[in-house]
Amino acid sequence: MEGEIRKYIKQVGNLKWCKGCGHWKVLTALNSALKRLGVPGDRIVVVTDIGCIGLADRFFLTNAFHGLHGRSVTYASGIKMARPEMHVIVLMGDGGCGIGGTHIVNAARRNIGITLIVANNFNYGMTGCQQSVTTPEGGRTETTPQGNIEAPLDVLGLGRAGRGSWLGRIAVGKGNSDKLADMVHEAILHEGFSLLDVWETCPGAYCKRNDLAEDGLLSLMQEVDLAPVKEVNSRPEFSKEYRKKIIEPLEGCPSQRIVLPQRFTSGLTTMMKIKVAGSAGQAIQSAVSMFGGGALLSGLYATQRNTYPITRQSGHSIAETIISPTRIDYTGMDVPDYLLLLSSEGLKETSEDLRKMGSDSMVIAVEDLRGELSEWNRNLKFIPTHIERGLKEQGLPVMALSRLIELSHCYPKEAFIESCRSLTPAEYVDANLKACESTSMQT
Amino acid sequence: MIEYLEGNEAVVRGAIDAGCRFFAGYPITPASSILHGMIRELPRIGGLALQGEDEIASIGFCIGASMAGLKSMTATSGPGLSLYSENIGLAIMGETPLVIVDVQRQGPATGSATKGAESDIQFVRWGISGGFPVVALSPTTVEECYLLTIHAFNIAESLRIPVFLMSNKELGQLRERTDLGALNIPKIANRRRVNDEPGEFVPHLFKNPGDIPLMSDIGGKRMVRYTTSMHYKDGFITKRPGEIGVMMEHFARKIENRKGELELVEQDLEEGADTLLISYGIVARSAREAVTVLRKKGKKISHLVINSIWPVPENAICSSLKSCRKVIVPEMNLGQYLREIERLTRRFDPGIEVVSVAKMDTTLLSPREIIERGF
Repeated sequence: MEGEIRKYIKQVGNLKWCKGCGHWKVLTALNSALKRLGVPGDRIVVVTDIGCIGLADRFFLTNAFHGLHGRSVTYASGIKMARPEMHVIVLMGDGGCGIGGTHIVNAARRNIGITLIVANNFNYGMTGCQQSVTTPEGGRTETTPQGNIEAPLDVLGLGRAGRGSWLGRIAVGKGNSDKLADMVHEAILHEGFSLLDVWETCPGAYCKRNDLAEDGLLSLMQEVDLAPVKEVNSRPEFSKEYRKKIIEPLEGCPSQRIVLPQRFTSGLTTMMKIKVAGSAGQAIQSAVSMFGGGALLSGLYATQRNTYPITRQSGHSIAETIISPTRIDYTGMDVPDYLLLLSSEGLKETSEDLRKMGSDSMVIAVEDLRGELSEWNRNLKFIPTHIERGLKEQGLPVMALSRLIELSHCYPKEAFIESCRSLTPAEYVDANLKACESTSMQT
Repeated sequence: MIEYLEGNEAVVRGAIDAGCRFFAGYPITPASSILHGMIRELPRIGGLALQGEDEIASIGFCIGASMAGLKSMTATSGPGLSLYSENIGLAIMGETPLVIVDVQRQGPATGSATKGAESDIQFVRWGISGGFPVVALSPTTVEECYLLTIHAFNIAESLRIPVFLMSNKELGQLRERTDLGALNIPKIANRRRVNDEPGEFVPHLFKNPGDIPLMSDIGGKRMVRYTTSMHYKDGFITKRPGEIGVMMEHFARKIENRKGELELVEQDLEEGADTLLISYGIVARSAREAVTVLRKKGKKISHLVINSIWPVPENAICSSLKSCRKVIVPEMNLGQYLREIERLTRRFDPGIEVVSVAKMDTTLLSPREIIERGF
């Protein structure tokens, strides 16, 4: 049988699979299919997994990529994405379907145009006949010495779970080598993801311990309630679809850059450390970015670090920002000069800061917190909690920062307004500008 | 061009400017904004970026795409780096150019997902089977996130290796005034390829171990062989100890031979100072401020900031140790780089006292803490 292999396959080195190994039949079929395909070897890449079948790439006069156990589908996918015109063929054993099952499901789901051929012989032959995910119930292996009590995996089920667009199963056997080659050929020609589950024998390991020969493969299929099948659907192939739907509409579009050159002047002579504390959902981080943007527009340096829990729209949200006429090294603050409190949650998280803050520091809080802050009776300013019509809750930090600018004279208010215009998503611009201006009326 | 950028945004900008055309990653705090940024930016220039089903798939895609000719990058944090481990070994074995961004967070395991630390300093060095040397760069500012990403690509492409960019939550999510246009941007390096004509291709061809073999893209005119298994220059599996020994030497020497030129540090030495601060990453900023404070008080002090964490910049460290009696090593971990400094001071002058100022409670190490605990 080995002698028949020509054109895409050559014999290299001294590798010998066991006599009668089913892998040769898979390789012979692949060779016939490639011959029929008739493209040069440099347009093809054979990606192999680990195990006996992992040695197969060395026989092929094509590009060859022998990767980690179970991960061959990922390398194949990366190659296909980079080179959609290539024929990318993966040879994997049943072992790879266990350790790398998720990659098969997801390659099928993406419908990436690779061809995955599983040389399925129900055990890990190379490492000494251990159980694999396809070992039939009752199958005896080194790790199931009393017989396997786990159900065997339907390899095509992995492809089906991901709605793979070409799925096929066949057993090797006398008289069907043409059929096998046909199926391999069809799988390769299929534009989307194709998965061919080829049942074969492992004379060196599994067949030694179990009553299984090549002519018993079809009845084994019946026993485990599986059958030779072919299921095809038409979905767009991923690497081409990505170019059409993702790249084409965007290619050449410039990316958004927000430039904040100096347009205003600031009289700030020392570093100013501000902490804004409130709740998630108040858009504190983006408001504080606008404040930093205003500092940049005024020729200052600025940094901002955010603290938040792992939840998204609940819990506290804290932003620390430093503005300075000189470069800022340390981005944290032992004690803030200004503390802006926008909710009880924010207050709770900053009680330590409140305790440490000296008489020259200032707190700006929402009106609601007046009671909770009753012990803190110096340098305390309030802004209304309930925002006037036309403002959103997200306006609170903008209002507080606007008030801060008025009280500290850190940089011109116009710079903050300009920054709000530059950094705010269009739908919030009006609300934020209104929030900026609303504080001017209060004292 | 003054911009208010986050460290992760700067990494994206650096990657694009370095010529990155493929990105795959899996969502993880605090690295996710790199994934978002690459997905937003790469298609605009004809590149591809996608979310893998897990970290293993993501780095696998990158290795495949890189060998098919695209400059590739992935980004993660500690838990994802653990899953990268085996594939990092593969990238070394197959001599694959690849940039791996590790936006470190506090660990072990899931740790504090939204809090910073420099958790993985020794992990990147020793996190793969085989113990091969790696190159890892550590920025201290948002501008350096941009610059060192370009450096990382240049090194990855020139040496055919995976290169780590060691960021941190405190840097990746730090917003800061930047002026990228004013930076001294290195010339962009590309992998050296054989000509794209049909013919034989030896994938790991070198005369002397450590020479960088020319590449050929999978999909080009020459057929490429790539393997995770122990192979010789031709890319075929070998069991011959002589050939294996040469390849081992080759993988190590690619980096060891170029140790000197890979050194990237900021040396701020003061005449007559007998105390040296050695810092890296986000903590370098606290150390810079501590130095400013101490000098204002009349204390003489030297400072060495290390950008090239691996390989250890031994020349720069040893030249900074001259006339030094005490070294202070502040770190946002339990004291990981300390062992490198102790190793070098022992060799240089065993009399030098080495003081560790280590903290890993998710808060920033402050200049005050460095001064109080180090001096």
